[in-house]
Amino acid sequence: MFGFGILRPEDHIALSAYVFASPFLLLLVYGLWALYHLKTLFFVRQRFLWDSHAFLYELVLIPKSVRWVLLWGIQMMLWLPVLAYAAFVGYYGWKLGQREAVIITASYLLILPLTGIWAYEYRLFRPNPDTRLNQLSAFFNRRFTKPYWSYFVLYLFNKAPILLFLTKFFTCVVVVGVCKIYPTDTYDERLFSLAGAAIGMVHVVLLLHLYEFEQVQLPMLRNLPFTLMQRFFKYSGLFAILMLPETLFLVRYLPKGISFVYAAEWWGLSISLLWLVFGRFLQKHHTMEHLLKLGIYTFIALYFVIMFRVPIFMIIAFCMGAGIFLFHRHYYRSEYLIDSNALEHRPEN
Amino acid sequence: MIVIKNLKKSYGGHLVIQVPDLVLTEGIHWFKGANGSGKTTFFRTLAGMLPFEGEITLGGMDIRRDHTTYRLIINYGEAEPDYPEFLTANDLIQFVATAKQAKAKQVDQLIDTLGIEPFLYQPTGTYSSGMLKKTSLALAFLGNPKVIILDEPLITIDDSTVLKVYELVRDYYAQGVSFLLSSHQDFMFEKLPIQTVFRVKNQSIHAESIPTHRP
Repeated sequence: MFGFGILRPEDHIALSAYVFASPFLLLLVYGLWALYHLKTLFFVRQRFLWDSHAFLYELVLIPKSVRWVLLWGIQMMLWLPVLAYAAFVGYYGWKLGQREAVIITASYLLILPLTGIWAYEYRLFRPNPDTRLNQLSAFFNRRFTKPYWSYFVLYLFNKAPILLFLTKFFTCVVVVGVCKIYPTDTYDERLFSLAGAAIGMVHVVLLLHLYEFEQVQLPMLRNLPFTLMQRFFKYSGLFAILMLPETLFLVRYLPKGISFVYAAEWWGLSISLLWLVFGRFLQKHHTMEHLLKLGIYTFIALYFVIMFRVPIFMIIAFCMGAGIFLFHRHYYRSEYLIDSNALEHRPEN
Repeated sequence: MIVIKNLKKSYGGHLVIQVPDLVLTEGIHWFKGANGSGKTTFFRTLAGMLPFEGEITLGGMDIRRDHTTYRLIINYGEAEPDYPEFLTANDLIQFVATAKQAKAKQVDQLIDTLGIEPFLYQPTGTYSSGMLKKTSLALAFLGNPKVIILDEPLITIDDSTVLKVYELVRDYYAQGVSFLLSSHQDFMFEKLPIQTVFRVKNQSIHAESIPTHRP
């Protein structure tokens, strides 16, 4: 399931046949699903702790049988990705004659969510839980201090996992797709540049999240005595980490005939586009509508620039230069405005 | 010490605070005002967290020109802190301590004084408002600031911590640190040598006489 966006369908089918035939591998998969199950339990438990969700404790007033069905429904909804994938591979396992293993797997998948009912019942009747962390988390928190670059990555995993998954799924498919079709015809390197431009612009929504996250949840960053140079390197490191999946896919699938110098240029184009977009956020607060227009217009401009064979290093230099200029000029002047009516006026000196 | 000239802060054309001319000398200053009067905006502006029109200097350092050194010597404690729920108090304290060049001994002392140790390694998403407030207070005292701004430092914390905050303010003040405080509750004047009381009202700031606030 973790390789859903990476493996081909036939690979999944072959993998399912192999897994259903091996009790050890099957147990390994059960273990991974159990981890996912724990993650969903933790997610719901956290939601019960939110003040805004306190009304959920009224569920104790509902008859037990009805409440159990409702809680089971909640767990099954969270369990749907596993069920869908298991149904997919189970179908082929059944066709390949691994019926016993498929039945055991189906039983496992139907019984495990029932433990969610017990966990939620426990929480509903104990509304003021001991919020001490489990020992594993506590161990990691004691052992390691999270570095700055991990803040936004953790934010994405916690607050916008679907956006993150879909963005990375799309961009990695674009990278692999371009690498696969390049040798099939007389394409030139502009194909990669166009893909790089598209990938850079697809990240505008993630960058909007970065801008909002730091302005709303880490406003203290502006009170910290970092030089603009230090801040520049911190953001550049973060952008490089955001682009890591695409970079790994490019390196892995880079076709023959495309030099690593060009791959480096492609990487530079993506990073410079992230800088350009981030600089624009600092210059002017954007609504989502503004943002989508910005992304589309920029991509159209890049399309023509690339098709007219403007050297990539010049595009990188322009985007990077503009991004750094906007960052330098507007970092301390930027302001997050929740009221969209206030967007047109920016007090600056 | 802090010199403010022609300060004007607006949100989308709506004026929040305007300070034509104000000099805050060394000492402890108390800013009073109703909810929404602009205290927090004023404090955040002084801390370098918000853009504004006008000039602000601290000890001759310009908030815009000397943005790094200015921010090294002015700290800010949020009124209602809200941190990313996956970060622990330790993550935040270590990050800010490094930036503010705080020594490990100071970090340990603040954690001990404010009673943060029991929840130091828990994510802030599990904190009560009092635990968040203690974390923000610890962050505000880190490093070697010349000015510490504490926005509503006494809310949501228990009585024993209130007394410890008084002690911290007094100790830092004795070492030459100035404070800008805001509070809806009256400060205990016998515990803090408050130099000036300012009233934030009608988008402006006016000094009030201290005796009227004494019990």
